[in-house]
Amino acid sequence: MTPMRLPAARALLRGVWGGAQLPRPLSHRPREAPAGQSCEDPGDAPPPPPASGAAVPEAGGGPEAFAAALAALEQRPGRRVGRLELVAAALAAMPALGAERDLGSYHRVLRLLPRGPWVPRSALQRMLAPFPRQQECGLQILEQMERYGVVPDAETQFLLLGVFGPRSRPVRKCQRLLYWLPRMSRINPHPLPAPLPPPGLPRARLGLQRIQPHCALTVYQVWGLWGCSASSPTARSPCTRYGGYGAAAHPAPLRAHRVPGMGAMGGYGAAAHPAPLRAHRVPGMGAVGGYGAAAHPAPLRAHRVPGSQSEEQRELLARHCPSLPVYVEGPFPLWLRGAQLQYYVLRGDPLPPDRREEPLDPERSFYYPLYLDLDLERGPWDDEDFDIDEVEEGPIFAVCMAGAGDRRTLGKWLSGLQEENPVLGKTPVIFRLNEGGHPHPGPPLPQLEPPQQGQGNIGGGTESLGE
Amino acid sequence: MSALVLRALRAALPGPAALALPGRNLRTAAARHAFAKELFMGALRKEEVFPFPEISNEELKEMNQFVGPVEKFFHEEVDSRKIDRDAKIPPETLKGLKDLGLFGMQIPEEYGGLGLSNTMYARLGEITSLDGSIAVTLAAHQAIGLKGILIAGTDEQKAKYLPRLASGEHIAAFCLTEPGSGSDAASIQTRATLSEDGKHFLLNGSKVWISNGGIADIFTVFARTEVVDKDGQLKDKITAFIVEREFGGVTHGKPEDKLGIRGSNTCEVHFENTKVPIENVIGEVGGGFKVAMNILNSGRFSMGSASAGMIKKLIELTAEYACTRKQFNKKLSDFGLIQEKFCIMAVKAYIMESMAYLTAGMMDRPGFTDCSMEAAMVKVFSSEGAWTCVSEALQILGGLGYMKDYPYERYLRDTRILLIFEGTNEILRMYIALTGMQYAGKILTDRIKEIRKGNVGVALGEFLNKLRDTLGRKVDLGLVGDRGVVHPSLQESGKKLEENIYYFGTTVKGLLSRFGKVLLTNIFCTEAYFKNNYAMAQLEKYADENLDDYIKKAAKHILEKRAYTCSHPLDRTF
Repeated sequence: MTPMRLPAARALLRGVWGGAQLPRPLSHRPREAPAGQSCEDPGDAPPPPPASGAAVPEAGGGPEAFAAALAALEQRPGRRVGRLELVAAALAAMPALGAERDLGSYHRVLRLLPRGPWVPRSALQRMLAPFPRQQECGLQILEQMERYGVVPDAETQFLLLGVFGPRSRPVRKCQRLLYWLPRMSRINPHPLPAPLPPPGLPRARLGLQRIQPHCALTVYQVWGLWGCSASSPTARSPCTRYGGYGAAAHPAPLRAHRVPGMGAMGGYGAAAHPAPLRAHRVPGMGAVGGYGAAAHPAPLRAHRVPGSQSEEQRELLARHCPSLPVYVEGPFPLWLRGAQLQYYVLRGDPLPPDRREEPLDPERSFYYPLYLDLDLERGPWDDEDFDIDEVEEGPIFAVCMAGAGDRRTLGKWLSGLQEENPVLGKTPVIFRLNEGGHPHPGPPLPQLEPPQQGQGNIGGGTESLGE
Repeated sequence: MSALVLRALRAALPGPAALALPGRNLRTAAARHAFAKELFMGALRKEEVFPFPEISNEELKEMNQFVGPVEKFFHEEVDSRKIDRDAKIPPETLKGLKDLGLFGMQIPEEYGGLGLSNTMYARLGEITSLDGSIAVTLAAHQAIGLKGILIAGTDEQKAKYLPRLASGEHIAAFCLTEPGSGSDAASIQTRATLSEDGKHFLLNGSKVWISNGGIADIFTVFARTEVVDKDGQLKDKITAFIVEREFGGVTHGKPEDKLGIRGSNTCEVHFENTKVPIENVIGEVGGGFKVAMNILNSGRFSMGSASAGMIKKLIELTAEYACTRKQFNKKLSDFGLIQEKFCIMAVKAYIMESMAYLTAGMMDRPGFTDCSMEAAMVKVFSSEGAWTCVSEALQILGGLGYMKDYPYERYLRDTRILLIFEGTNEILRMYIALTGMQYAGKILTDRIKEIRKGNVGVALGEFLNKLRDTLGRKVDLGLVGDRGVVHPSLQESGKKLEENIYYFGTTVKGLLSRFGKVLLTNIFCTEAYFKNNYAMAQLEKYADENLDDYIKKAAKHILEKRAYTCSHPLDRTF
């Protein structure tokens, strides 16, 4: 008896709870929804209010600004139409507002969508891909979350259930995200900090640490005239400021850059600093600001070159034969998420095979034989070597991030290095700049021609270091 | 005083006493390959180990006369707790040791020592180890400190230094370790430069962690010297020197505060322009490396008996406790897990002393036998065994073992150094493995060369060997069976051991032919290691000794007597 009554009971229940709604046909389209529902067909909806884009108070306002913008939108009079476009615009505005990694903001976007009308009514409807554009909109929200690595939570799922119904595409996507994202978010063994450190010295430091993780960082402080105007994006603003100051104070400040040597500085800053060429090493980072931080009010600015050299590299360099040259190469690009840094290396040629490893002294280990001198000849069938193409590379002795890749800065870096590596004083150094991919737009370094006025790159200095 | 008595006793004994050191007097025969290296070929030289080296009844009697007074002295006069607390051996104790002649155990009688054989030295080591600090002081003095003079010194050097060292008037120390150099000879910084007149070396440098460094008068020092090579080039080579404190310029730092063996003196020793006469070079100039190796290799074998002696003492102490302490109206000794611990300790002690006296017996045989590998094995096994046993004993004692008021925690601290000094166990493992591999490799190479030369016999032998392997051979090394040498009750274990040795040899051969020339020291052969471990585990699993009944039986024996009950290896003479 009871089974027979069931359909009637269901119909009754639907009447009680869903009485306001007409039973829909199977081929229900949003267009046929009764007026007054919050579900609007995006097709004939008015163009989305420009609010979401235009209401950006200021770039990078954070999740609060985003919430405020959405709240302002809610306050506006009129019908709530064009939800899909509104969501698309909101999604597009999120990165600019800096809310793209905030789960709450995504929840706010999801709350813009109506609850109920996009839920398919029956199993058959669910099979026939209902509300495709609406579901696509939900998927886009989730895709953006996925792109920025925002892990959904129970509330996200609850909101999606309310909007799209169980087992809809967005809900299933959300479940997949819940499965994968926590795993993926820990997959990187060397994660970058969430907000990258500010450009300049801190960021360069991070870059160096990623190149040589267990090295002490040294900041080579270069005292000298710092006048290059466009050598590096990070050094640009303080430099131009300084240029202006110089221009006001001295009628011909540009002349100073033109001559790469420090001789032209004589009348300019030598009075303030009797030894302007000295490179000071500042161990530790406490007192150091940016690359060319404006902390130094004197006409001579400290230019800081963070570099790192490990103990092994120091030993390698000490073993380097002084008759063979070492090379300064770069700049090479290093990407930290979206930011690019440029680094320079000091390297040598691969060692000749006879100098590479000292022959083992049989009288070396007091306790056990260091090698076995066996002459077990093997047949041709015993060849177990893999076919390997070995690319010989020279040892890298040191790495630095000179903000300005000009030869003079690198020279200062080298003279800083020389304090701990006296062998550099006897070794010829060859600059091989702008090789290996040239990330910055300056002209290739002229070897002998005089530097171009206003080209920014101070290069062309023919000083060869360590002589 | 007592030493005089002992010496008189020795002289009074007829004939055999003079033969007490045949090994050292008759070292003329060709070197023989010892037992352990053959294992790497998968062979067992049973004539080397069967029967167990015995000593005659006269020797035994003589030895017991030595042992009695020493044992009495250690039980009555040595206050280990005080030594440990004050971090100093009291002068009267040192004087007693000197009077007993314990500072010259292995120095020949003509130089005033006791002239003990290796076996007897091991036996006495068993007693001196009752106090870790004294054992280390004695070992640093004679196992390494004066060993250089003993094995490589000239007669003049021996006559000059040994008498006073034997009487304990002078104490010796061995100076090899430096701040930057442990086992790497290339990083030794201490330098000896020849003076202009060519009669002196000027010694400069500092050594760290020198046992007896603060109390020693004679130092065996290793330093770099410039030596003209065969091809006429100047080269830095290690040279060994005898340095007296009187030479001047020898200073030492304050004694180090250590975890264990606190009574032994360990400190830094600095040499500053110390003038060493050229006659004081041990061996030849530039030949210090070999001297150092020989000293280090020869000093290790006695650690087995020393550890065994200590564990036996510990068994007595813990058995007493386990038989008196009651929980739930049951004595601790009635609990199976406690019994198992006693069984472990007894078995380990038995193995240790068997190994130690076997090795000592091999070394005492006439003819020069290179037993450094066996000695290293003894050291590795016994140091690790001692650590396990002390830990088990502390487990039996419970909280009591952790308290400073009781002597047990001192054993734990003292034992820890065994794993570290005289070559850490890791380094010795490499020594054992690589030396064995080298030996096996040489033999295999020779065989291949023979075959290439067209020696049909060798080739045929190899072929037949391989054929028998593929047909599934039965391993028979002659331990078991009708004409076997092991006791019938050990047939099963003996068989397992044979198989184990054979497959070990096969693994070594396989490894050598697979890696050939590139087999270097840093290859850690996990595969061989685990195979071997597995075989060992199998051996242990099926050994009768590890069955429950046997454990119960052994533990019952020990706990009834409250002591280690197996007869001493040296007493098993017939």
